[in-house]
Amino acid sequence: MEQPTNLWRDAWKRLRRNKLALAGLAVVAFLVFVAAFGPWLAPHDYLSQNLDLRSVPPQAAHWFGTDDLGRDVLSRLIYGARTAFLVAVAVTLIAVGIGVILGAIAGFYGGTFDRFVMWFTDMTMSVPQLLLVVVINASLKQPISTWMETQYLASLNPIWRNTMLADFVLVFGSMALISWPPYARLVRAQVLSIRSRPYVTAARALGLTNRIILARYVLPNAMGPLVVAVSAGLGTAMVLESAFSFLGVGVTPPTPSWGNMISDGLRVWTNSPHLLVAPAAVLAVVTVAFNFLGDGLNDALNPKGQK
Amino acid sequence: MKDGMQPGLTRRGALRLGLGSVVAVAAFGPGAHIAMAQEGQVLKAISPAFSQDWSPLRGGGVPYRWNSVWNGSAMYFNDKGEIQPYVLTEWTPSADFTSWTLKVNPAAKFADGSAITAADVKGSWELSAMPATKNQRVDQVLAGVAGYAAVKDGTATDISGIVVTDDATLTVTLSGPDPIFFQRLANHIAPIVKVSVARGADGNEVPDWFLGANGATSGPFMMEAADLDTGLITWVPNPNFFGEAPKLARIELTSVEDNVTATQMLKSGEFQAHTELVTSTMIQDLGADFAAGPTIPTSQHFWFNTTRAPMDDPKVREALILAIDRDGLIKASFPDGPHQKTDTVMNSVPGEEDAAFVPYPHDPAKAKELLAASSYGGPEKLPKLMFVGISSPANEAAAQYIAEQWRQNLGITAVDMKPQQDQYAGPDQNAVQIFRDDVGTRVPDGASYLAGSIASTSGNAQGKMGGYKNDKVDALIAEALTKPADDPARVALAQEAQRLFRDDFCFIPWYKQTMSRWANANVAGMEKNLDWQIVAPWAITIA
Repeated sequence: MEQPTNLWRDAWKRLRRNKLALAGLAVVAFLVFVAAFGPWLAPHDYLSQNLDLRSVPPQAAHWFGTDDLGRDVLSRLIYGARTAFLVAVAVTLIAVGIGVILGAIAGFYGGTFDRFVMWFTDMTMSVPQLLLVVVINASLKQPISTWMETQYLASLNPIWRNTMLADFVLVFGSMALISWPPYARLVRAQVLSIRSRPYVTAARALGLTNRIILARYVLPNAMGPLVVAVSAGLGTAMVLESAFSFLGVGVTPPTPSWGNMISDGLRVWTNSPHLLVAPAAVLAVVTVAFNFLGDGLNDALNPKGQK
Repeated sequence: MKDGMQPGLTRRGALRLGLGSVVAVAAFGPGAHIAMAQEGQVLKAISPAFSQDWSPLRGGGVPYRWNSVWNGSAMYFNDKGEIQPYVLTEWTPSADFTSWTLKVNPAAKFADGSAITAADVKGSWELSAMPATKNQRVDQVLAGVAGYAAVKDGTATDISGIVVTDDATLTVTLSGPDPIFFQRLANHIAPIVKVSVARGADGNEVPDWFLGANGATSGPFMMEAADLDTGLITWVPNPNFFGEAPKLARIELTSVEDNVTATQMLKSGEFQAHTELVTSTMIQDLGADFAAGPTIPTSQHFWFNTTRAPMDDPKVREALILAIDRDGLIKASFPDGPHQKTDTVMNSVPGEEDAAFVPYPHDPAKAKELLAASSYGGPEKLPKLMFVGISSPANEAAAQYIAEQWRQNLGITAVDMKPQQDQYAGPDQNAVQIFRDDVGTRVPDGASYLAGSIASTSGNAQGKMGGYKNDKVDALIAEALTKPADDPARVALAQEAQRLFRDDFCFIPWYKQTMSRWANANVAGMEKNLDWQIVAPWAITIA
């Protein structure tokens, strides 16, 4: 007997035929694995310095060489993967959360709320991203950090001493604040087209509430393009985090981030090219992987759109 | 006579002549080429910023580092720290060192050929002291002169303590004895300019008087043009310079902000010198000659604010210092030089070497004990430690190294770093405990060095060390300052003050500064002095 089919199963079948998308998926899966098990995978302590081995090129003991303080570049890249992945996932989840809620409600109910949401979306998109992140960092980072220090001294709970926490909260928050509008627009457009479909009308005729119709019939059918957008958004978020760290408004050293590693490597690229090449290559590969995966998902979930 | 030949010149003779000419050109040609090149040599240098204000009276910034090229000073120090006459040729103190009689070089002229008079010297100093001039360091030169404060405060335009006796003589009265006042004049902080051009009727500086060829400066070169938008400044020899004639035909200073680009341009020979190149790989990129130079009385340290927790506990301070391997600190920040590790506050001055001074040891075990015995009982209850002044790759490397040493040796994990330094006024300004900054002096004198860095009246002690005050240290420095420059007691008292300060555990000693040439090996005469100036710009040549 033939197995019953659905959108996702069909999509997976089509995705498996796309080699580039599978390669992208493999890279992303590897990134997830590295991010999750970084502390056990890293060959060295990412903070540990060895001044007798400063800026050495790749060798057996240090596959990607060492930086100008003798720290193992591979270990820092692995921890940087953790930073990149955490930031990308958290930012995308927050942005998707905001975008889906606002876009779905605006598209489903329309009216004044829809106009307000779209006006707010346009306004947010008009704000220069980098400027907004710099302002948020400059104005909020220190108060948050000071508050956390106060909490630590009161409780001596080491969680408040995690310097990455304040960085992440701010980086997540500020990036999510500028990343949600595309998701809101996408979901709104999907909901607008789905809400007049016959099965939605039928659900209404059966007396189901708007909330149930939206949650059970509209949103699940709007997910296809959203999945594609999310996969592309993850890559974009990683690049964005690297860009902010490169510019000094992201994750604070010595916490490694691919962006601040690239920034440091750029200063010494003529003498120690591996310090620039390694993080830049990793960032490039991961970004391309997310793009391949996004394209593959788009083709898989939207076969009619293929050329 | 044969066709085509001159009488007396045979074919063989002509061949010999031709061969001889070839040999002569081969042998002497390059020399002739060098001689011709020297006559028209152009020094192409890089400025790391697009400076918009080139007044020689600002006493700081990128333009200051080029002051000696186009401005004469009262006196100057050579690269060995020996004082040299310049616009002033004589300086005679009164018996109690409260007044000085200064003589102007009778040959001294401005670029327009007019004579430099004692009134120009007085006017130049007054102009530098005017608050609107915004000279960053004029206090270092004139603070001790009677009547200076009134001009600095804007309540007068005339420094009453400086009196012009005649065209070639002026008398300076000080508010107190200063045996080394003459040394304070030997710099380009308040250079000698033509007052009738530079100073307006209200006593303030005439805007942009210094731009272009106006003949109002007194150095070996004079400004030819300044295109501030494209960042190109050019100087040509001053035909009326009263010293040795400059050898260069021209100096071109071009703004290149990016250090990596600047390094490549220097490496390729497109440029030959830099104003101040600070990269961690300077020596690797451009060679030891490029960075070579004398150490100057300026040093960089990490200062503890002794009034802020946890630095208010001397045991914590000592623990934080002893936990650091300072050989590693210099290796992490300047592994190839040019700066050198130091143990002391005062450096590159007489008395720097003090056999009785005990450098801070690297003793992690004792550091751990001290931290445990402190009022905080260990690393857990220690407030977060915050550095400021971490504004360059070397500073960042040093601060990260220190933080890692504290993590490994003391278990301290909460350390934060910020680039801001002077006038730090962030929301957390009251939480900053460690300031990275330099201290130093423009005179080769240890007592002055300490007076400006650890005496309770110094900005460093009041600001970065949070009001540090040790009465014994103050008294020793104050007494040292009254001794003549060549009195061994001046040095001995300063050394004793430094030893006492050492026992207060208020700083992490880092490095003493080398004043690099920042010029390619083929450029001669780019040696600099403790005033950050090219000592003899007239002697610069390019091989």
